[in-house]
Amino acid sequence: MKQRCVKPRFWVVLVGTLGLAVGCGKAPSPRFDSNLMVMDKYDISFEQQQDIANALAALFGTPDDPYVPKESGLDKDKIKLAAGPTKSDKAGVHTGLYREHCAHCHGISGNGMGPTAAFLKPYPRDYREGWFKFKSTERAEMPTNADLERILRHGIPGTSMPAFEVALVQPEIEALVEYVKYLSLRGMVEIELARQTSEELGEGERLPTTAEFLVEGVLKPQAEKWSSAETKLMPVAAPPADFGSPASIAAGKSLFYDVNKANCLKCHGTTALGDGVLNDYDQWNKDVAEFRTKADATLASLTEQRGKAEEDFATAVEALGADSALSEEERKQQRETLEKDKAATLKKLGEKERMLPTAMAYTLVPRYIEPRNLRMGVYRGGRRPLDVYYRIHSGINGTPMPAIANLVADSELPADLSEEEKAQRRQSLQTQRMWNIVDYVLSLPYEPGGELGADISMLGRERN
Amino acid sequence: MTVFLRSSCFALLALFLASAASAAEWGTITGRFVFDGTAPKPKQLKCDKDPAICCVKPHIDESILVSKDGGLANVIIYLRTKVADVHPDYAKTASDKVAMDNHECKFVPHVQGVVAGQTLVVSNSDKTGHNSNVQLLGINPLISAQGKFEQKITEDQASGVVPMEVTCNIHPWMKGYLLVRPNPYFAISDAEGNFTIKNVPAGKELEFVVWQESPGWVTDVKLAGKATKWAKGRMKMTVKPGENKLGDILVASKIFK
Ligand code: HEC
Ligand code: HEC
Repeated sequence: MKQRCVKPRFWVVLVGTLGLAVGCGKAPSPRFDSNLMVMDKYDISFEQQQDIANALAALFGTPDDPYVPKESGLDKDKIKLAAGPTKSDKAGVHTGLYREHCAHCHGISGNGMGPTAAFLKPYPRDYREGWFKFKSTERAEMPTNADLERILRHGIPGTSMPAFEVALVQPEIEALVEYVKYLSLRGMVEIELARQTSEELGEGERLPTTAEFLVEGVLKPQAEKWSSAETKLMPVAAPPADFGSPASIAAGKSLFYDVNKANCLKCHGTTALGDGVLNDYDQWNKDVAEFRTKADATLASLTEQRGKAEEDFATAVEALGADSALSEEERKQQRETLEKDKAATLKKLGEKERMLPTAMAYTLVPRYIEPRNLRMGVYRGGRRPLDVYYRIHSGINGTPMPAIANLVADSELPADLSEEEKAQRRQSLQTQRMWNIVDYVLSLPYEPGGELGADISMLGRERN
Repeated sequence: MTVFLRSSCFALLALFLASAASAAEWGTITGRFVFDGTAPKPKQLKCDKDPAICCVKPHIDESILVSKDGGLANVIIYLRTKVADVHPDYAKTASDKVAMDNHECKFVPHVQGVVAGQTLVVSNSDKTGHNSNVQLLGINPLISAQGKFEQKITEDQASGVVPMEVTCNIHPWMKGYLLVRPNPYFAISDAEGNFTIKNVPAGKELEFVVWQESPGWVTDVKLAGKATKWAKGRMKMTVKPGENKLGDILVASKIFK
């Protein structure tokens, strides 16, 4: 098997960027990076982190040698095609697709931290939480294969996420879809292992390493989220007969700007230029922002905290000595406890001191998310009316863009209806109104000025 | 890889299997969280959206609320140890609706607890729209004026380690917390700092977690006058049948932000 050596065209070498093997020469094999922000969130000690890394290696293998347990529900052959260094064999079978096409943005681990990532806006997706934006399933659910395929084919217009329709053939796209799921599942399992380590284990207890625990207890429930996606589709009723009519657009418009109804103007602005809220984070950036603030504070106060630990210890020992009610034996025991507590505090501070700077280097400067400028006619999740309906129905997962909960007031329903009839009427009115809003949103790029006093010269302004 | 799985010799599963025996006796825990020291004066928050509706009364930072005699509000205490079953009295509230209202552009209550099987109802009693974003539950409903959003909480959602933040992206000063638990053994201290957890299985050592939004895990307290460290907010206790009075629990001021 002869390796084809891929000359990367646009690697941007960042100081401290995660060992990304380039596939030529003797580059070291790349590794999956640990999710240090999550380790910090759950206060996972170094020893416990090692246990988690071992568990992950057992379940998922390495970037060059992925392991695909059958309980993951993933297709091993597809993963093999997408994983590893980029090369073609004599028969022309091309493998290592992820590293060739995706890793420089999304990172080897799928953490959205490839070498190019820092220069992009929005940042490439971090798959590890399992939060995806543009899909046909309910907000909290995983996307279907078809959703991911669409994203890979058409890209995400208005962002740097490319369309791979031309570059890749169907089996390659399928392999990459599977690999995105593999990385995402691995990330979700990592978070779950950290959570269980923190929440379930007793003091000094180690993470169980039995297949029963790792596969049945941890992997399967996470894998289930992916394999059940097809059953979590958003309900969609057909658009009403007057869809596309001026009346429908007008109805949508009045809902859009009504603060007591759809209230879209609050974020998208009184002129729908996307400038209602300009200093808000999506969840990924919010987590990073909070982590950085906390880590900075911890690092700045290390010396003080160490001093405090010593001081607390000295005070407590003094109090022990002065407590005449204690027997010699009790005093000795309590002193030992105090010593243990102090040692534990100092050990923890030492680990924070070593881990936090690295963890920070694995984050990108947090950036605000901007509500979409709806006059541009660029729809990241697709431009079909159905796509826009999905966005309005469930919002955009991981972002401030909310899901419409209710557009029908109780007072609008005739009082003489039964509860069941009321629920039905409410549902059908709500669906109709969501389609009205879709109508208005899709008409916005063509609306001159807009009633609400938009400055026409601003309408072409690039935003977000 | 499979070798690694198979070769493992210690099965520490015991902890993950809930203890099988059902408790014959139950105890009730009461206590009061007290801010140890002089409480900081709560800051006034910037209010700049929907001023005519939202900013009529000033909003204050609710992250540390201390009563006149030092009681610390909104401290969460929950049972960490898995229990096989709960006292039959809890059946009455097992499918309750648990409310959080968007009221005067504030989440009321500021901290709420909900058990798997119960239904969370987020309502909006204001004359403007709100969204209530809880990423860890995967919900972010846009709730029209006077409207509401309901969702039944599943077992799967009830496994969080720390309470989930609730935010409104339209009104950035709004912040609340939801504790979502698999069992009803938790309490949130009231405005005076008092809390009660009823009918806890007695006779076996249990571990509780104590959390407050400003410090996170409550790690340094004085219990019955004695300085005590609770690593990651964890407190061990064996509940006696009947009353278990913890008295005043003084929370060290140094842990607050
Ligand atoms: C030039 C950078 C870049 C490259 C190369 C790239 N992506 Fe992306 N990708 C992005 C960005 C940026 C986003 C986030 C867009 C957003 O959040 O709106 C994204 C988002 C995604 C998403 C999330 C979609 C959703 O609904 O949330 C998936 C899946 C994805 N990319 C897969 C891939 C795969 C697979 C490849 C390789 C075949 C790839 N990307 C290559 C930049 C890139
Ligand atoms: C709380 C703030 C907020 C509210 C309220 C809100 N949006 Fe959004 N909206 C956003 C943000 C932020 C984005 C960008 C998300 C992203 O880039 O991932 C967005 C994106 C969108 C998109 C772009 C979808 C795409 O495929 O590119 C549409 C359409 C949209 N919103 C419509 C609406 C409508 C209609 C309403 C009222 C029912 C509304 N929004 C209410 C914040 C909001």
